[in-house]
Amino acid sequence: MLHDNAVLRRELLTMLRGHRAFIMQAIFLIVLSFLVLVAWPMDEDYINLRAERSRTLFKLFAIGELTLVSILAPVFSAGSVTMEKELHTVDLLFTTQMHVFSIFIGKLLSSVVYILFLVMSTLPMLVICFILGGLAASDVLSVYGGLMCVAVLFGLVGLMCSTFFSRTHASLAITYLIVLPMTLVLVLIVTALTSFVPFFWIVLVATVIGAMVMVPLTVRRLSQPFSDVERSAEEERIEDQAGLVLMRDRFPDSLLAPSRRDDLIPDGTNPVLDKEMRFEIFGRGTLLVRLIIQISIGISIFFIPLVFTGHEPIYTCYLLSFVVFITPAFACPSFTQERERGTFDLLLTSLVTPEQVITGKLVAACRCTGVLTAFLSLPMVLGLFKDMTVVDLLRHAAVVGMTIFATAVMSLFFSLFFRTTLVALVVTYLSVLFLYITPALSLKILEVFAGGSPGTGSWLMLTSPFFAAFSVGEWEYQNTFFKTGGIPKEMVWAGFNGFYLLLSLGLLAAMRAGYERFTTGLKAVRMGA
Amino acid sequence: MIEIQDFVKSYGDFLAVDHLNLKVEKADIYGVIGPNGAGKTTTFRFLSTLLEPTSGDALVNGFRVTKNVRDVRRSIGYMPDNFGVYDGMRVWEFLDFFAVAYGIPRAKRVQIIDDVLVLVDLIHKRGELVNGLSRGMRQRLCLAKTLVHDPPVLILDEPASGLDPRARVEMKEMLHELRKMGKTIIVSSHILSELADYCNKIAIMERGKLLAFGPVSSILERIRKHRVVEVQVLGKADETAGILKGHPGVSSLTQEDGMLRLDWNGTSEDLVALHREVVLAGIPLLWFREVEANLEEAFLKLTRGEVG
Repeated sequence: MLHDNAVLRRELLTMLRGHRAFIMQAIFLIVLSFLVLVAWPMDEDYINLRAERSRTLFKLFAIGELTLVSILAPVFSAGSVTMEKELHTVDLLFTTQMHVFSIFIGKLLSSVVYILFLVMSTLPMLVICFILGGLAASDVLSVYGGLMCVAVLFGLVGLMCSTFFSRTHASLAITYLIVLPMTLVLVLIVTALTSFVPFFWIVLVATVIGAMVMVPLTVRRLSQPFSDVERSAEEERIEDQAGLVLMRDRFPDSLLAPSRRDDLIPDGTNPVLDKEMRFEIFGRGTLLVRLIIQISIGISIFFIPLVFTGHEPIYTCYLLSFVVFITPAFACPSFTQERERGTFDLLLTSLVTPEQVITGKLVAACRCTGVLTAFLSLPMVLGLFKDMTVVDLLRHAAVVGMTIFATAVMSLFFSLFFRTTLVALVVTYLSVLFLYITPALSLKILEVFAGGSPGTGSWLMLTSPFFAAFSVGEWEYQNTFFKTGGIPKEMVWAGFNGFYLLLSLGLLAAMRAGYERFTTGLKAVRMGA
Repeated sequence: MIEIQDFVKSYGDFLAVDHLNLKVEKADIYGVIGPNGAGKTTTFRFLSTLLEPTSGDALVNGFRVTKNVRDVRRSIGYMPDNFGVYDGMRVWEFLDFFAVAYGIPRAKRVQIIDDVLVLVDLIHKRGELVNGLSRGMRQRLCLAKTLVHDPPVLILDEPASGLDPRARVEMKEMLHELRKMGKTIIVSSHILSELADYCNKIAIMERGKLLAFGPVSSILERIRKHRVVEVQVLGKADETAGILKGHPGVSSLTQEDGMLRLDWNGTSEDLVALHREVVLAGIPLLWFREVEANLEEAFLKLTRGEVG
């Protein structure tokens, strides 16, 4: 099965031949090194407390690795079959004499092996943690064994999604939707445990159960022909009955996707915006949108009581997580899909201006995410019946709105800059993670481990919408994780909005300035001539 | 109408197009042929303002490709060799979108969309989804898109690729029709015999260089240093070969399955005399005919370096 597996050999060769593998490994190791460096005990008491510090440091290290594995595993697995469909190589693969299970094993291992390689490459860093003492070999083995199981589990999720969807971005988005809650649970488990051994057993059991469910499903999907990536009438009928199809002529679906025109586009309309709203955004998967809406609404039910108990910022954080997840899925394919599909040249040789293209795609992405988030935001209004004021409600809305806008701009920027949707999506997710979470989290780690306030570094927290959400209202955030050093809470809110407004405008200006360079190679100044 | 001036395009060390100069007059159908990687698509993308040249420039409808991008785009209709369509759009919506993209007012659009659909014979598919169209129909739809703003210049990269024989004949007729309408067309194709049918001028490219260009007849004359005559007889092939070899106008002779093929250096009068000689010798002659040069032969000879 493994010996001479053509799929495995080809995938590994392709993966390791490019520079992507090296860049990924570099990012992986830099982020983990940064975490270890920040959390390294520097105070005078560390000799007395070093065993305890060592365990805390190792726990942080494990959480960091777990998070990175959960971000990277879907990148390799979620596109493994959809890419074959998109590149029209799926027929070639499935008409060979390879057994479907060999193809499955080849695909799974090729997506997991590289992650395992990344995990193993962190061993030298672990050895440094050993210097502090306090760690048993069983702890180390459990964490590494657990991480390998997690890589296999998430690889299985990605591969399964890849067989169910015809487009990589849809598969990737759903994989993240499944993987991220699982990661959250695993992080909570690691945080709560005093020994790492149970972590391994928990993950192993989850992987075995997951494999028992997902392997037959995936192999069954792989045995079916994929050449017809369009949905059949029967599939559409089933989706329709299950409520998975958007009814464009009915409220509130019409807010998301306007109904089809019976007449010509009115004069003065931005044709790109019209096209994006009516054909593109939801051409990227009505099923995907419906799944996201239904899963998100399901999760939001658990958060609604928070609004009645004066914990609105937590609900806003839930909305922000939704925005961070969903916006790149809508916005990243904007330019890359035009390239992948071969429509970009047709668009570029028309008289549509770069401003029309950029604004059309930006407004469409913001509108879709905005409408979806607005549905989920409705419970926030209930907070008005408790202690929340209208001004606070608007301030929460501003934080969410600015996050939508900034995330959409970043997604479009990377969509213009990179050639494929997959790369644009991964870079956007990593950038968003880096901007929204990493600086604030690093400062908090620094604060906890080094003690005291990080001083002027506190201003870095303005990059996080989560901190901005906690700065609104009467929430006693100065006593929580979300306290922001010496920065006044009004300043946190204003600083966040100001920072992302400037960043977004800067990125939009860069997109306009580099539009011709990124799309055709012609210099910008010549367009106006 | 189109004038390419010393166009060079290189990617690192690889020279895709090497100092290309070409002039296309108004109402020409100029065919560009060459093997894969010859630089045809690079040249077409450059003319369509989609590629920055390493050096050189071009004039399209009097506008500089590297300076007056918007004016050039207004003047051309570009059909790429590989293109996609927006799934979920109907045929008329697809054309309406591009008509708006070219700034055509709504009042004129209904008529224009119907006119171009009639021209490309897709009017019966007006309400169909574009993703449901066959390959040939998509080619025609893309051609309709290139015509929607009535450009004077059409740049068509492999417009007949993937079409069935009937669709190719229709495409040929369509191009003739467009030429009659005064359009200047530059077109590439791998189907050389068809290019000879509808192009009045040809350029042959290989490895980024222009090997030959000009009217089809002049290129064919250039590749033939002598005329070729085929003689088919019923039996008596050796006896016929003896008669032919003895004639001073015959420079070489090959024989295969009763078919004799000779290279002729003499005059037409001498050829008539040779024909009479064979008949008078009592040879049972099936045919005696001159073989015309064709583009395939020209292409092969030029790309093999057999013609200087």
